[in-house]
Amino acid sequence: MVNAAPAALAPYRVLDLTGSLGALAGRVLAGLGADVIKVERPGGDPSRARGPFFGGKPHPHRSLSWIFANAGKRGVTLDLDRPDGRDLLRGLVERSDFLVESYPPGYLESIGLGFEHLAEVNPALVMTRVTPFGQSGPYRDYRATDIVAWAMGGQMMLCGDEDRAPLRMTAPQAELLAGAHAAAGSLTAHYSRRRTGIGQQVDISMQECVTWTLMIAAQTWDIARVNPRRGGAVRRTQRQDGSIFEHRVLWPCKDGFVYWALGGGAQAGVLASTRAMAAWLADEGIPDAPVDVEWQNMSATVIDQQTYDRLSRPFLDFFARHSKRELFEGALERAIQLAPVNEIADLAATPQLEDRGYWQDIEYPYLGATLRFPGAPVKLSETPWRSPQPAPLPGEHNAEVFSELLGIDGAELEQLSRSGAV
Amino acid sequence: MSADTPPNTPKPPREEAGNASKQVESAVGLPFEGLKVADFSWVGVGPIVARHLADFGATVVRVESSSRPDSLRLAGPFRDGQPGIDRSAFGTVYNTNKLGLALNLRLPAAREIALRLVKWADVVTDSMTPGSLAKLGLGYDDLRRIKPEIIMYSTTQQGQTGPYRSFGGYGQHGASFAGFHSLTGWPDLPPAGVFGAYTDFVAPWFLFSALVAALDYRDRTGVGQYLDQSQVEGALQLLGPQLLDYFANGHAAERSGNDDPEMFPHGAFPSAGSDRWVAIAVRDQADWSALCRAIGHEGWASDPALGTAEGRRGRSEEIGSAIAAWTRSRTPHEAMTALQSAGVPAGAAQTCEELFDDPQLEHRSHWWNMEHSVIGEHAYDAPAWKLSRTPAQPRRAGPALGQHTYDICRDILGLGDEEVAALSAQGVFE
Repeated sequence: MVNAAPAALAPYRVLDLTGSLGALAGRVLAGLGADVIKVERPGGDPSRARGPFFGGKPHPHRSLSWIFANAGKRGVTLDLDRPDGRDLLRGLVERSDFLVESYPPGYLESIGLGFEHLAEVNPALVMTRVTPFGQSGPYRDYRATDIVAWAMGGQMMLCGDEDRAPLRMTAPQAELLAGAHAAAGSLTAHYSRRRTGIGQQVDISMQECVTWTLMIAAQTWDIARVNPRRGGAVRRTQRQDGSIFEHRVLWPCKDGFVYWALGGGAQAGVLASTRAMAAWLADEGIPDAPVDVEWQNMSATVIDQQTYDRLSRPFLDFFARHSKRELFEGALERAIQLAPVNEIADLAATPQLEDRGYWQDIEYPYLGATLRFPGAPVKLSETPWRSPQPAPLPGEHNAEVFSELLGIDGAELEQLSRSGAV
Repeated sequence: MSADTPPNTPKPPREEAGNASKQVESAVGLPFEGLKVADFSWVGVGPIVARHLADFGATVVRVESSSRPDSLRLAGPFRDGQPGIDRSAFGTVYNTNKLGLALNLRLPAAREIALRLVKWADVVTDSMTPGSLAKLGLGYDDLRRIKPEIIMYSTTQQGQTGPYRSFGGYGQHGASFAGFHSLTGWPDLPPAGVFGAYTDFVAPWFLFSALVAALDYRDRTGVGQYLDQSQVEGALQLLGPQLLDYFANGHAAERSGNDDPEMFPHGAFPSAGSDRWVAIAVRDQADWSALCRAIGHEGWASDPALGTAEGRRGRSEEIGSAIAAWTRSRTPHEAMTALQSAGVPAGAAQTCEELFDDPQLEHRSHWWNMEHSVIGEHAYDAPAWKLSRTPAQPRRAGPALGQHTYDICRDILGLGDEEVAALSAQGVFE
């Protein structure tokens, strides 16, 4: 039976008032075993209008981006614009450990549900707030979608071909990244609460989460006063003497591309990989396999362009004969640092993910289908990642949750439902 | 000690000898105060997770050896452009608030030191090729024999099991394998790929959450555990919608420049200056009307043919030119300010340099400027989660290799000066 093992966060309850921004936080906490209750407005969260859709047809029950981020949660509806709706939320807050939300800064305060208000109801509450730029500061009221956060966080100027506009990633990242940080931040505050019994506010900025993806680019400005530049499959690097050196990072192969670096010098991994790749070419009988090259002297900082281009040719020829999977599996045997540039279909077929049981198949009765999900982001030996219950329909668990937590049922619930509070 | 000499014999720091014990005091009042971490990990994900524990108060001992240094210490940027094992910002930014222990694990005597450290620790970290620590007698099964409640994480490209487990690449390879590279670029060109070791900056947040959950579970039950992370599997959470779409609908997302299926206009528009851009996204009619007013095309706002993203997409050249004509005469920040005031989601495509002048990042104290013992003052990213009562604290820069070896030997491992000297003579602390 799935989910028979203990769950790490089983004792804890999370109220999830997020839209598309930050919804992944509750998903992570649910994966780790918390009871996560999605609180939507009556009729459902507007981010259910986001595609892609099951069957390709827009419908609030069929949004796959919503289903992905909200699987494993129970669902209730509440109208927070009504006093009785807000009372119900306060009741739920009293019986919860976390609240995660992504309303524009100031909105919850304006309806009496800010942190100060909710801390009066439950002083141990950890309230995590996910917004484009944060709860305060000069940009707090700025609007942002994925591409805006990607630009403001610094990734955009580092992505794309240099003779065209800079790029975001086609699969939107920033809202999900912010959700991942929000889960980690919530648990940090939770660990503090375990000792003190006191809750607090956790403030997440989507922009800042993007800035955390820049690797060492920003420090390169800080230390060396150089702004790293974007580049495509072939990168152009400016050398200390001002000359431009073009080197390839994505190499065409028979059915796509592989990621690999040709070179040597002090970079031990690149040097060993280049030598091993040259030896592979020789094994395959490539006539001009560059095995007798003094690769230790071929550092990217000194090698001249003509030499680099000449040495590249046999590798380009070799890659053109092989698929990315053949190249990757051969590289694996030879300890070469080469990776396939996988596309979505390649990922679905990769034996590694299959072997580790990564995919989770979850039955969705309301779609009449079984959906395949990416599984555990971490395998925990004692408290495994939960196999998620289907993402809820709007208000699917109203009766169950309001009865269980607030003792509201029967006629009272019907009354609240008729009045529009739930 | 000269800056470039790896410290091989731990000596009490001359000036601070009297109060050296301060080095290993815990951070009072922070969430992880008193939590002890033996950090055997290197490069990105493993150290980043341990760093966040340290930033929020844990005592983290980073174990390294000059005989096989973290490859990030050998990559730049270096202070003054001069390579050196303690001169790279890359080698230190994921290690704030940690203590540095030099230990050559290949020597048998070093294993005894490592085991002492494990006995002290609550958490042990690993990011080496699967099986490497086990070969040294420091695998999870070895550790739990001496400390059953230990929590250990191993994080690698492909995880501890499966046919690809031995793959030893970096986050750039992870980004390639996990599909992020193929999804970044123009449809008519080869993929450009996302910048940097992208999966190294996605996988940590999941591992951190799992680890804190495991600590909570241990605190309640006394049961430790082992966490196995494939960084590819962690990072693939961020392609969840695309994966569901493929499995359910057979539709495989492909790179499409800056296009969005639901928003138009949507992209980076040229600004005043050389290679300057502003990102603009129009989600709905309200955004569209606001944009039209801001750029002086009020008439478009009420044109029903332009009332949907599809309708606008049909006239993309005309609309794109009008926006570009407006953005070209403004800097990215001027365009952003004007559009945001009008209510349109817009943001400057900021250079790295501009991130240090960004008033919002400054408001959030994103940059921690700390004094590194060799590099001097330089910038570290602060944790992105801001806690109102117990915020992360910049207490010390990342350690030089083995910077705190002496303090750790004395105050954590309880070794006497003579023992330390004898082990040093064998090269254990190198």
